[in-house]
Amino acid sequence: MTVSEFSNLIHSKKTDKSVLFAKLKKDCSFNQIEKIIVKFYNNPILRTYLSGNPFPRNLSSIRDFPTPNFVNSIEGEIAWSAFSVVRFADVINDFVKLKGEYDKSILSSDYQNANSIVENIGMKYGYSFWLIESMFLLNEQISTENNWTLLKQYLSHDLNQFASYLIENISKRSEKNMSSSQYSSSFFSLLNDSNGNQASTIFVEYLCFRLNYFNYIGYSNYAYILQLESASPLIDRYLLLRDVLCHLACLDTADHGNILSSTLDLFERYGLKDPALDGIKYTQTGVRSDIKSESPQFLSIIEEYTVGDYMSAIKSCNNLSEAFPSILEVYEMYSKIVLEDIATKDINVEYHTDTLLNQIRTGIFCAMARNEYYQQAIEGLEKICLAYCSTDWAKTLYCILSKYANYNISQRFISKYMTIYSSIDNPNSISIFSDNAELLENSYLNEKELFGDSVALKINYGICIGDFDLISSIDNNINYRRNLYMAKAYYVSGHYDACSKLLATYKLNEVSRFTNEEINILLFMSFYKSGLFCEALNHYVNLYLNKQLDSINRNIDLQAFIGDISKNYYSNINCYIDLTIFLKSVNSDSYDIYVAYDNYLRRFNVIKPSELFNSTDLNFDKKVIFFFKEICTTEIMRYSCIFDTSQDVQGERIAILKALIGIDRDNEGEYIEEITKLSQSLSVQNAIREVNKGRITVNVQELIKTESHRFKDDILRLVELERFTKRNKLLINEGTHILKNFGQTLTSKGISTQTLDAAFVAFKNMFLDLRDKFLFSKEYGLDGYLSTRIRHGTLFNHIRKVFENNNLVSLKDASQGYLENTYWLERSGHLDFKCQARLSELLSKFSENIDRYTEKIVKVFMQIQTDNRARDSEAYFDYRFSNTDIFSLYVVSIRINILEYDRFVEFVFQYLLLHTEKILNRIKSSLDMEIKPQFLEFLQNLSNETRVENSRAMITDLSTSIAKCSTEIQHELMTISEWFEFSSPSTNYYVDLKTAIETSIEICNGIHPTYVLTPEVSIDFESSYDIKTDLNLIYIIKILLENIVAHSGLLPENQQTKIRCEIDSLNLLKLTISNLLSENVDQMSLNTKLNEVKERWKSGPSEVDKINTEGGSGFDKIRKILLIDMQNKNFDFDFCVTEKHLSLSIYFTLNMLYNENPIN
Amino acid sequence: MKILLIEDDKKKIEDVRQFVLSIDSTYTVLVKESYQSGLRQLLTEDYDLLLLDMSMPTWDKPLTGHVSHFEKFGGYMIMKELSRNKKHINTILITMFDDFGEADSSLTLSKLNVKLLEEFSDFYISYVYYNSQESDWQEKLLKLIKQVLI
Repeated sequence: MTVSEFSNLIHSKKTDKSVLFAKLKKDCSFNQIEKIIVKFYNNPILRTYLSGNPFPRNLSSIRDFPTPNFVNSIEGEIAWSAFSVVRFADVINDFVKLKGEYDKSILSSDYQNANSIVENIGMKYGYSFWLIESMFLLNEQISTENNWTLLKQYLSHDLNQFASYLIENISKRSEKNMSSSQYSSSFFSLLNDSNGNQASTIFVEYLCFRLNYFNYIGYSNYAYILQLESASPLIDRYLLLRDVLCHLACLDTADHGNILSSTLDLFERYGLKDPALDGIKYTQTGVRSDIKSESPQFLSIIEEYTVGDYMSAIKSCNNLSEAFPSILEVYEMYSKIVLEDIATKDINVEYHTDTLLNQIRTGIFCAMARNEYYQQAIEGLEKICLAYCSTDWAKTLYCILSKYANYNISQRFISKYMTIYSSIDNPNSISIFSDNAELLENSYLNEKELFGDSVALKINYGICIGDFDLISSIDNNINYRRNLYMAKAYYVSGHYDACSKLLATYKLNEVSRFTNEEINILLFMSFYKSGLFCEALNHYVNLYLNKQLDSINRNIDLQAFIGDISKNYYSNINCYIDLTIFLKSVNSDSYDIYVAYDNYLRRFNVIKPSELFNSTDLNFDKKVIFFFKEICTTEIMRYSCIFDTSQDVQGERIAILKALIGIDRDNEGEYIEEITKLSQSLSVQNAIREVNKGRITVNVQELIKTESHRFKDDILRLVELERFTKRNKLLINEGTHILKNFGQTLTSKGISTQTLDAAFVAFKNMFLDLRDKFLFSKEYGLDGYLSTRIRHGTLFNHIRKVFENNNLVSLKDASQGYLENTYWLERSGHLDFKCQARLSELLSKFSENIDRYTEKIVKVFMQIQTDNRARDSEAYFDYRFSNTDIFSLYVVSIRINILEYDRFVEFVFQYLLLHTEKILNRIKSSLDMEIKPQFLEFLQNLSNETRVENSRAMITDLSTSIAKCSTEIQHELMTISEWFEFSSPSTNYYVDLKTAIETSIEICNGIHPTYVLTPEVSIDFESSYDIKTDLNLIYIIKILLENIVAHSGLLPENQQTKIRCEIDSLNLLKLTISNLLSENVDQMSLNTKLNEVKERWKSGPSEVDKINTEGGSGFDKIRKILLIDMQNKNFDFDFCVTEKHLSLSIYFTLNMLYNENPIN
Repeated sequence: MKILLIEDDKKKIEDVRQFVLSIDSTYTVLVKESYQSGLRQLLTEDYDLLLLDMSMPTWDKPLTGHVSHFEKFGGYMIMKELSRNKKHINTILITMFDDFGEADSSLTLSKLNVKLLEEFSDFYISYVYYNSQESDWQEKLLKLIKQVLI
């Protein structure tokens, strides 16, 4: 579009100006847009569209003016945004300066100053989302209630729905107790609902960019993000434009170089100044015009660190952080030095949350040290990044955090991002140009001028260009790291062998964790690049087994490595055990692990892993134990065709576990637990098969396990919110409405029709989230079972086969018409042509009716419908809940005080299970009352229509077949009806007493193969006392069995053990284990020992601590299990020693074990 | 011709078997109904043709109907095992599904066919979309069997 064309169009009354400006953005280059805008800037329409309402004086006018349509041109949108702000360069300069002060004040907890700055900005420039965010943060410092009160105040304005949605979210993420993952979870939970089409997908991206920036990876729709923000106040538009420019500058592509350069040039010409813009320019040119004021001091710390003068470096860090506490890089540097220095590396720091600065300082240390506060620190820092995401220091913090929290983000992206927002300039930044020789050279020359003769700069440059001679020639004492720098340079220059040889000179146990990690990464990569796959695998696996992989995975391209080794079913790899462990560690597909497993077995010429235990070639080291423990699982072995049934696989697994108990005693407990689970699993599966033939399953136990913890913080927030809303009526928008109808909500007013009690909305969101998990969880949800067991082919064929068996339906041809029913036509020779034609037509129509209705059952009735899944309203599995339904549930949950996270999740799932049971009953009823009559009606109609005068059947056999079919379809529908029973997969770890005893015996026999026990087991009480017990009783019986064998003094063949269970007069369970006694046993001494045990057992619960530290005596272990693990307060021990006989008895409370609902 | 049919749907088994025998009654058709039994048969016996379903139970007699005993891509795994063990038996996929996987990882039958042709070019022939209501699967299967015979 030329200037004159634009001139004609803008002055024409017929022109839709919104369309004209959209065309300008779409068709013109940055320079063309500039020419036109400069020329027509005084045109009031253009100016209105371009500037909008930059300084809204009241909240209701925020985001309240028209914008040109979205045109999907990144260049056009950036140009439009840039020109919309650049005329206000003075305002922005002032804002940037004030914001810088605000950022520092809030970081230093100087809330008074921060507040006055925000008020000042508000007075000068009106409302903005930045201002609102700052106000929420400041109010949150007082209390979350203050935050919510402010929210209520904001929402009382006549806001458009989209603005109120943004404000609600900003308030929510400011809440101190709202963790980043908690916020993100609820945020995405709502977004997933609206993710059905392209438009909403890009809208989702905008919302993430705006509200949840750090929790989304893969931004790409920058044009849309800018366009949507163009309705916001000037401050927000500028900040978002700056973020977009920064994002583009950090990408690994030069595609946006020209746009960035044009924009930065424009800003420079208009005098717009912002340190972040200088940072962006540096990433594009490698040149800085100047360095930030504190940079030289920081550089001296880097120099001291580089040459190994840690003591001075630590001192310099302390000085700098005291003078400039907002330079977060100093905290990172300090932690690195402390952890690197042999003299200080064992110093530990606790995670403190008393002030924001302390939280960041200690959080960075704990994250880097990976100490016991690691997780807490990471979560805390993530929360800070989320809440304070508009501050430059939070962006820097995110970069630091990403290095130690194993985020899946490109390190180069993070390095560039940090360079842009950092409050100091760092010569290490030149590494961001390592892939661009020209920029690297520019940057090196420029940095040399700015930073002088810096060792760190020289080393970084040497590494980037792979110049090991340059590093070698550095005179300074660069300590033991010189070899590491050299190795890096060797690696960059492709001298992999030299690199690995140099690294081999390090004694890894003598270097710090950071150096260790760097060495390990380089070693792995050198092996890999040299094609030494087995060496690479071996190195990786050793690190994995020694738990040293933490930061390594982030720095190597595992997918490329896997791609290289997996060619031709790993035929180029002969280190099979390393391969299996590697594949397991990177969560490879289980089939791939199976292939490696199978190759390993073939090497030993065996077909089952348990056969390896007989191999004399096998050394049971860490790797072999890992192989048996983690690789030879039922999940992997199921691919092997040597097993006939699942029981065979489980049997093999149990055999492996039993053998492992003897080899790997440290993990005995784990193996025993798995054996018990497998045994239990078999009995549970048997019970399911015998008792329950239902096909409907939701694995609620597993869902509770996976979901409970996720909602812990949400429930706490709900409780607080509920208290608050009781006193202060806080009505908010329902997110789903906004997200589904975002097109209208961007401008539409009138929140009252869509608002609900805030606590209820929180409850509802959690409820619906759990409902969706219940229905659509891939592993445990209902839909998966419905799909596999009922819908896919099964139900359709079960019904159709009845009609086919009676020759009543025919097949479709390619054109979807029904083929002639030759069976009956061949039998209709006695009929005239007209009658034959009529019969053929009727049978085709019948086929069509049956197929169409059966398809409807499968595709319509047997579907799930929820509010978010627009399915046919006739779907039987109806999980739509009205606000009234959910509100009733909410009221009940408040009334019965269910608001504890584990109880809440269970409560919701129980509600859904009950709801499902009602649905299943309805389905059974429908099969009988609706579906069956419908099929019978089809058959009856066919019967009626195939009769001629005097109700005579056209063909006698046809009438018989119809009648027979009517009976059969009824039977078939009854059978199908049985599918709609609940079969809940039991995954608890309780077993009945007999199973517990037998498991204990099996374990004992596995551990002591020479003492194979076959005790006589008797349980002497009525079936009403059917007892379920947890794993603890298995341990107790095992210990008793081992003791009775040890004390007997008998050879294996003379053992005669018995186990007896009774209920005594005090209603305690009495468990007695007895055996014969050798004549050689010193009965007196045995009596004394056992009497001592009896006395100790009487000492009561006050001895718990002592019991914990003991451990020698099996009887004390039993006592500890009873007292602590089984929480048993009433227990006792007794024994009986006679001339030829020994018996040991323990008594314990039955209440814990009594099974109210015996299964068997 | 010795044919192995790996399929667990009774109606489909009958339909396919009858149709194959209607082509030539001298053909022998052995049926296996699971990944395990099918694979074992393939690795221990020689066949001229494999008619293979994609989704199948792991074992012939699963203890329960639990979903973990069902291999959604069991047919693909069998082909992988054939390839790995260098047992190249002409294979035709016969499936009732025209779409595999779930949501994001959905794979249409035609895309799956392309993938199988690329990965198992030594022995994979093509697919037949079976629908108990229609007859055109028979034409396609006949065409493919003739292709194998040639």
